[in-house]
Amino acid sequence: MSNKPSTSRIVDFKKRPITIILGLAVSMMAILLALVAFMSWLFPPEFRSQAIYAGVIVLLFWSLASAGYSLLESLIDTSSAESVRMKAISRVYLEQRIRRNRIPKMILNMLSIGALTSYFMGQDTLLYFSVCWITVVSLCVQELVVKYRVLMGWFGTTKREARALIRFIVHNSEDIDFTDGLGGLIKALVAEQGNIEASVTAGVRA
Amino acid sequence: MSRDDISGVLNNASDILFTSDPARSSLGVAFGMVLALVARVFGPALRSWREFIDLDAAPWYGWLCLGILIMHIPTVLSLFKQNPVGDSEIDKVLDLIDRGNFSDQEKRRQYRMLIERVLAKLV
Repeated sequence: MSNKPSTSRIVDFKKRPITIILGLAVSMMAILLALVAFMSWLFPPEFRSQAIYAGVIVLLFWSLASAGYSLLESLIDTSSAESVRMKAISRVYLEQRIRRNRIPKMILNMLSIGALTSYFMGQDTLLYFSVCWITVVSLCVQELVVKYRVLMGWFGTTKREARALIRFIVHNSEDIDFTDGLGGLIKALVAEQGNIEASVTAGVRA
Repeated sequence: MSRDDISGVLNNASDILFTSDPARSSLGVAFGMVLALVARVFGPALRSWREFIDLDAAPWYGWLCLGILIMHIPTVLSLFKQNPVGDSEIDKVLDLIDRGNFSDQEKRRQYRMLIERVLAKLV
């Protein structure tokens, strides 16, 4: 197996910037048009301009936030292509964690959209928006940190992480298939990047 | 500090902030905010119906704590039922590695080996 480091990234922003930007722009336009149409239908005439104004601000805010998140994700160099392909328990853990966070993130996003729209419509809901938004941002940051550590092979090397991973294995040993399809077990952890020699000594690298 | 150390500290800090279960805690925040909103909307009506029901008197962070607490009821119950990882021997080994006189590199290796062994034993 080659130890040659690769420059590939999970979200390859550099290779497809125009496609991503065009896709985002078209999606935003479509959402904006749908939102304006919906708001015109929903609100009485005297509220329409205010509602549209609120909707546009909320949409712009969310576009900027999601673009910032994508950019942050693409900036994280997630080590070699080998580790991205490698099937390991830590990666299964990461996937499950991301899947589990999806619903809370969706609910919090919806709440904060509602709170921010209400704020621009004259209600005192900025506090609700701030709390929900800070929680979503913290959740995203934590997800990125865990993703980074898993793909760099560092996850599971502290007591807290080892405990979390063991708990995951214990609780899911019957539900998740931990075999590689050839009768053997998949690896527990991705090989450590930048510390390959130590990993070889430890016998965790193939 | 290396990138490993920085990301490790960040991960531990956020883990403590979310009480080791980000999904549950964030749902608790959402639930708390909904409770606060409900209290705000229905507070005046309930107060005019019965004076002693004053939902407005509770601060917003009180509702937040209540929401998080409600969502963490299963976590609290599981603490009474079983050990943190469900096996006292594994907990002992984790503590031994943590307290043992090992170098950082050796500790990392021990944690990795422990995970490998638990996996081999269970699957």
